[in-house]
Amino acid sequence: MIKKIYKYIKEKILLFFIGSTVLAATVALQPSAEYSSIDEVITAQENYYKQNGKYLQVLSGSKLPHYEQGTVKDKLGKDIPSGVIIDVYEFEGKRGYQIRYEDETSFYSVATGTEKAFRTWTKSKPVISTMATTTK
Amino acid sequence: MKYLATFLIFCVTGFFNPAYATYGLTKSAHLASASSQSFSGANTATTGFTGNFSGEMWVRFTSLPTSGNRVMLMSKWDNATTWAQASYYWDLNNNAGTYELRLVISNGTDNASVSVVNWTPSTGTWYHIAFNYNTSGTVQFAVNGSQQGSDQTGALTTRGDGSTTATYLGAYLNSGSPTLFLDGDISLARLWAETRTIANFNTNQCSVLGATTNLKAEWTLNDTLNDNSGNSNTLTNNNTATFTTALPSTCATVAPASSIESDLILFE
Repeated sequence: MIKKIYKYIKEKILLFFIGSTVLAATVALQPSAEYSSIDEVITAQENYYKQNGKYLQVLSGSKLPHYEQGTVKDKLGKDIPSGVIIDVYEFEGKRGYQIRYEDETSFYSVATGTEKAFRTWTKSKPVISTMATTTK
Repeated sequence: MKYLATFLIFCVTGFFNPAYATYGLTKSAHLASASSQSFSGANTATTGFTGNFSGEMWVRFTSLPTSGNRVMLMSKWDNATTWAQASYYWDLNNNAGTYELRLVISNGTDNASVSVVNWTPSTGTWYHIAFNYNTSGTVQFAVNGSQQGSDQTGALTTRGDGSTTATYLGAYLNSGSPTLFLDGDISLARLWAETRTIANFNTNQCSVLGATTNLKAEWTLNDTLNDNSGNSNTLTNNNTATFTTALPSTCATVAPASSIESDLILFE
């Protein structure tokens, strides 16, 4: 009887380890839930434009603006990293977009379209403190 | 034959052209702050200037800034690493529960001044708001044709041109990124290179003026982002702002500045 119980437990433990290993491997093979580079985001936006004739605005936290339905993942294939913001713009019928993000030292903006030149920049942090003080 | 000729002249001169500058207002622009919507115009010689100036617009707030926060009405300012990018901004500030209309002037080199009057707007109500800045350091604010408070003195007597920064309606720039978005509707925004009288603001609050001396930009926002002043300061639509039929009731009933009758008289 004891031998049977031992064998049963041994089988369960073995199955547990096999199951965990398979699960871990499956998770590891799943594609990432969000884009990991700005180049990937640009490619996704261009593909979206080809299908929809417009670019997709994405708010902080990979959220859509009030006038869009669904999710970012539905529309672009993956989410956008939470600290990345995508603004869209239209000037005289021509559309473009601007991707903004930051790190510890700088703000970055990468843009396309007619206003690419002045919407693409890198700005160092911090802003000058006296301005903030003077203007409340 | 005479009537046919008159009809043809109407067509050529824009009588049937919806972009004809003197038509009355039928639409206004709606900005949703939650979606970071605003309008911007690249710097030009007619928006990047120094000295006296004034601004005016119709506004109807969907929501008001909470305590300690503010929303932008019109700006030419980047709160960035150099003062050269700052000229002015005009905002509605909630100072611990007290609403303030403010005009902040930068000298473009090392300083800024803040002129303030208390004004408590309501949501859902159209207001015609305006400011005057004079290089004597005097600022005036007006709402619906009435001056708010007295003349505000002590503003900086020089103003930078902000020539490296865009003009914004409903936002301003903070290190290149737009922020402090207005939540509401705006209509008939104008930028002048002169100090106007309060009476003048009142008289023309619903009039589409077209090319006028010292009028640097006239954005009717009447289903268009074109500049009606003749200075080509066309706006960019940021994040898909929309146009709606909401209008100040006083303007919705105002006839176009150039009526059909006057055109008939002109061409006959």
